[in-house]
Amino acid sequence: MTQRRAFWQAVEAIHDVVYFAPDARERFEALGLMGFWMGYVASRSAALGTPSATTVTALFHGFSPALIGRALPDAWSLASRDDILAARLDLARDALAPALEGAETAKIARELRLVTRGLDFAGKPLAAAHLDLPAPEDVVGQIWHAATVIREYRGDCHIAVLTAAGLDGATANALAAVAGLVPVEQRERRGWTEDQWSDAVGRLGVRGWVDVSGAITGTGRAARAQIEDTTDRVCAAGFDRESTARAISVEDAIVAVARSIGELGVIRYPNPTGVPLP
Amino acid sequence: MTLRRSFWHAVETIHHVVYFSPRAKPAFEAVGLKGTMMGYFASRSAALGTPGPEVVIATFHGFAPRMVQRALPTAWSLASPDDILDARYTLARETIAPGFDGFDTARLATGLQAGLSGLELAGRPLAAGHIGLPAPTDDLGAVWHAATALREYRGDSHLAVLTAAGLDGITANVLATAAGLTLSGQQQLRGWDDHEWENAAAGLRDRGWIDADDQITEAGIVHRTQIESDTDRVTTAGISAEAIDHFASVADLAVAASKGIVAAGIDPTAH
Repeated sequence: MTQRRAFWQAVEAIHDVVYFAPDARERFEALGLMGFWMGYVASRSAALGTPSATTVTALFHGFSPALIGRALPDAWSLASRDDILAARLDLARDALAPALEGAETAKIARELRLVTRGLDFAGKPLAAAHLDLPAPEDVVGQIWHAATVIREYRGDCHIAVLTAAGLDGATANALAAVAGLVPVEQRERRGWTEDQWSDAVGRLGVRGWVDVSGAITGTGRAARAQIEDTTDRVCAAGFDRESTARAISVEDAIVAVARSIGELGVIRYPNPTGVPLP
Repeated sequence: MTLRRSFWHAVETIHHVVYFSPRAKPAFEAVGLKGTMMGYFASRSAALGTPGPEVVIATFHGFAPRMVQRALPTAWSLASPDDILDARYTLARETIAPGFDGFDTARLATGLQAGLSGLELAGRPLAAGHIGLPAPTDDLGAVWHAATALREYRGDSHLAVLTAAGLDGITANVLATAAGLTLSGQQQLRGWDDHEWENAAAGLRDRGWIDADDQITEAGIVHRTQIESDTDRVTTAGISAEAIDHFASVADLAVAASKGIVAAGIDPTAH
């Protein structure tokens, strides 16, 4: 069996608060980083240490090497990795706390942590990097940390599926865009030039996944749905029995948290992650 | 156009002889590391920086977590990644040099290095780490750097295929062993205990890929063959046409060099 989409959507919402908090940019700039994307790239990759631009291009999948190269390695000389991680966690706590009002936070923190214990990390490097970080001592921080490990775990599984399907970063994004899963501004947001993007759409055309006008075909739609189903299956294959059970038991509670995140406007939907609210 | 499998074998041989060199253990102990496996885990992962054990479990795929945890993060407090990488390159140059006697090392270095910028990095973290390192300025070092990046590139592509097939680290190892693709003692070399190995074998029996005597079945052979051809396909999909031309132009040279390495008797995996 696979985890239900609602579980993944809720985990995504909890994790994503750090990207959509209105003061995300300011907080990282206060440390010395420059601009939204440097904050994003450095804060998401700092779990690995001070990785090179090439390594992060590999791990994030979907961002242009140029966008990553504008942020790294400069970020590591502008702010310390530990400060970046601390700022990210503070941002998460502040953004998440209102949505956790009235929730059984201790129970959610415990269950999510136990989910992370039974995952197979072989082939899931970004999730593994976050697991390597010490868990925070406060429950709100623990909930965000565990949700982050689980979210990056699904992301890593998704990347394995995309890679195994021979889809490069630009093409995977172009496919998500033509499938209507992400907004039209995705090209600029991921740092691709118009030429790189039209080449990527061309590669989809060779597969028969878009037609001459660049619109998705029935085959393209089926292929994109298959990628999502395969991702669910690959994720499930790495959950042991205990983790599977914990994921089921905590699902209702985290779905309620996610809906509260949406109601409070902490995250706007739809957004570039392409993931809807549960 | 794809690259011949002999090219990948050659790249693998040029890269992996460092692991079998009798000088490996003393070379890494000289910079402060302790034991063969700590030298292995730290020197292969230092291109990523100072990764924690979980990142190495994730990117190496197939090693028992406890084996990695015995080496990392301790290694990073015993030696700096720069010193470890320097020791690794010195070891590599010394180890492969006998295989390159009389070869046009400069042409091989140029051809292999020229293709590296045409590799799609998305989804290939270990290769990306090595490509992110500055290429050595000497020919032998540059050959080994490029061979390492390419070998890890195919390895990363292979891991994506294994992961997408829902095969975890130990299961992939049990399957490769049943298929006769590994050295003897693979279970111990990768750090798995009997109980873990048996559990993974049971999973493969459920799939019908091995039989009750742990012998690979027809279905298992078909699936393992499929994994290898998928790996070739995924690897090739990430290499630009221009880069393939660069690699193809020096493929004969790479194969000749790898044969030189085998002839020099420094590769225990050679048959």
